[in-house]
Amino acid sequence: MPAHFENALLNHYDPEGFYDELFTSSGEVRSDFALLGDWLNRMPAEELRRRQEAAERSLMRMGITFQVYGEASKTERVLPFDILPRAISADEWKQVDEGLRQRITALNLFIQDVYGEKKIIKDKVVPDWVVYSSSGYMQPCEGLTPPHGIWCHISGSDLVRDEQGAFHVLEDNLRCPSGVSYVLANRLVMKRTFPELFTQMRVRPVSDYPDMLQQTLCDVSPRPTSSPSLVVLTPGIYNSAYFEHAFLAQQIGAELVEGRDLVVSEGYVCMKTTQGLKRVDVIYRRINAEYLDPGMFRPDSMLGVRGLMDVFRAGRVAIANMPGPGVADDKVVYAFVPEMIRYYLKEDPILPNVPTWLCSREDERAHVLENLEKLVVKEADGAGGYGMLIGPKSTEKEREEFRARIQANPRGYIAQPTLALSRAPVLLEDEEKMEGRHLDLRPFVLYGKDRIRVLPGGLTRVAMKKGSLVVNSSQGGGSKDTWVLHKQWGMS
Amino acid sequence: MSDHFLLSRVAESVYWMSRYLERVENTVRLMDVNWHLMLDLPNVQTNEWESLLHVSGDYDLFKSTSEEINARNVMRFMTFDPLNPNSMLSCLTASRENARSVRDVVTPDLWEILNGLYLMVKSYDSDASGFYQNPYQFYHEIQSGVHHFNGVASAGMFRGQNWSFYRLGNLLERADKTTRILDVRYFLLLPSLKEVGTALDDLQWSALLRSVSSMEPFAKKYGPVEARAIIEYLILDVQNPRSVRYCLREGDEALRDINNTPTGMFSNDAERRSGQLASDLSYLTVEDIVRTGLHETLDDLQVRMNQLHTAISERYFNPEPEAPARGGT
Repeated sequence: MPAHFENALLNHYDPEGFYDELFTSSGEVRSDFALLGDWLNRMPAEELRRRQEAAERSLMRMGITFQVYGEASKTERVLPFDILPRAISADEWKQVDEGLRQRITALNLFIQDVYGEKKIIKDKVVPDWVVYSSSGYMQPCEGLTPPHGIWCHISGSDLVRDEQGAFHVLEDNLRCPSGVSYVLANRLVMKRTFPELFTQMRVRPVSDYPDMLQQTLCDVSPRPTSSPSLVVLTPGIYNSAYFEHAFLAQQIGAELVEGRDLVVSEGYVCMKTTQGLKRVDVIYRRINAEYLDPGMFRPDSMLGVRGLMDVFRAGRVAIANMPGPGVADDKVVYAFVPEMIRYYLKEDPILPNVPTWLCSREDERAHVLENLEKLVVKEADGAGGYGMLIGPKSTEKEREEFRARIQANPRGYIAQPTLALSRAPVLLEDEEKMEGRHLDLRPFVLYGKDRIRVLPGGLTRVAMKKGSLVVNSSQGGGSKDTWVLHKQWGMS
Repeated sequence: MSDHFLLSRVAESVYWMSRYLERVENTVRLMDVNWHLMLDLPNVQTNEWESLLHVSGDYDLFKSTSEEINARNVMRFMTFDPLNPNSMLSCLTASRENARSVRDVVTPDLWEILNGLYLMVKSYDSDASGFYQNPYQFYHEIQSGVHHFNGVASAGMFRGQNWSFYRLGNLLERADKTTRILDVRYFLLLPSLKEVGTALDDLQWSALLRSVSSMEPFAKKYGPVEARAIIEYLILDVQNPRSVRYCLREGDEALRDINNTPTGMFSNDAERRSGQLASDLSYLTVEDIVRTGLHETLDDLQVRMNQLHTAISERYFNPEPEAPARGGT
């Protein structure tokens, strides 16, 4: 490591052979982020520590908390936050932006096709067993066409970078992706923490996300009015993402409602208010689709509204995201997304998938079972970092357990190579030191009537434990503010 | 659109957020005043602390803990005991939980004040901080926090129905506490009424004034502390923002704002009860109260305030679906 920084923090930093977001392999600050490096070089460690603590207090006071499922106590926790920003250059972002817009376009066409004409199945590009065995496939959605053909108004695909720094899509979140409130809160806290840095750098703003979201939702209102009545449908205060539901409702001028606040009356979805029943035009649902309407999907649902889907079919309410897109974020279906892009758009994928072996295919299964200690095995419909086997970190017993599970239910599992995920420096809690931690990126995409927009930034999730590859908040993951830079930045 | 209506659930939570927060302030004020008074009256401690338990109606609950009634135990029970639903901590927690369930209508600055106060109390170590030797600083901080919240609410809260329910919760709680404190203290001070003019008597009556409102305006308007003047000041005075009459009149206004119902008219049972109560208090005199009996008067007021609460709750918080939905609004 070259010891040419004035600041000991930087001199002691070691990328350890991984692709590092801020430093080159030889320990220099990447030229795109030179200003950030200069600034960091001038920042005494104790000053950073002080600002880190102030930022944490600020987040706690703002109550940006989540709850972890399965924890007996109802303790609220703050998502660990690291104040060193994760920067992405304008050129790098261009590929992400274009790639995500391409991908969501193809996925949306796929969902419409699956519940409609099924051309892609008839043309044998995606096998029918893949579609109909997906746990997110919802038979009641057959024959539906949502307003403007939009199924996924809000989506967020998880991206990772490999050892060369190339972006890959790790998975698609088409149901109710969460985390955007952290993006906005992190940015707010960063502006208060490092105002001087924002005046020097050209960081693209994220604060217009609520306006974009509001417009996206208003676009699909069945009632032609300039101010349709929007609601955010939440499972309630004990949901782990409740803060986000409340925050977004407030920001977009929607009522935050629970299922018990809604009722279907005379053919409309209505909310119960102090002035009687009021009609609802657009529902931004943050409950799982299968709970939406106990008359149509799960009959035991206490969270939804009976008769909702009838009102939808009559064209009197819009739902975002639609029920049904879950069929496409199954991890087996994921493996076919590059084919979908070629099939529907006649284009090559701009953002590649991570290579994926399907355990349902005999030859691929054999490869997976032979190489369990090298691969990451995931449940096809798993989420939250649960139900995973990380081969190189697993015990013999865990591998045997997964072997049995794969053999019993091949459709339920896929495997991918263990990626050397990119890293970025984080400030350590106890020592005055920076160390590299693995991270990913969840950008947010809004699919509107006229265009698709990608929020410049997104949630950078960091595995705060040394060496860990799991970035999920339920498993000790934290976050960083993500700075997408304007083109001119760093040119001087 | 939110100026025309509120979700019933939201209306209820805003009401309780405000009501519990006012209860926090009242409890803290009562404890603080009593603690100050005790420094002047080292010999009558037990009685005074016991009467506090009667004010909040927690005497039986406290007795069931079989702890001795003394300053430390009552202060702990009324301030920090999570098992006492009326303790300051329980009320603050309930206020915050209600605010949390309606975070979309509570502005971020208000939420941060309430959440900050809650986090401060939650992490407070009463033994390490010497709370039982000198609780003043702590109580003062709580009161400041509540005042901060109410100040920001009053300066910045959107004047839709949320404002009405916020005020209703605050005012009904305040009126209720004033009647309770007066009722309990009246009983306790009854024997000494015959010895008007003794130093002890004045100290206790002044403490009563301080625990409900400020002493200074009283002294200016009524002169020396005197039982009838106190009754007038706390129940009937139109200029005292904590008098029962003032609170119920303002509460009536807040309630009428919801439907734009003019004074003198009513469009539902809550408005009818509220208007009647406010009007009765407007024409009540101290002589009437003395003739009826202070306790009887206060008891009647409490019953009617409870009925008003029930009527508000039935009309706005748990309404039967009535108005059919229409295509347009």
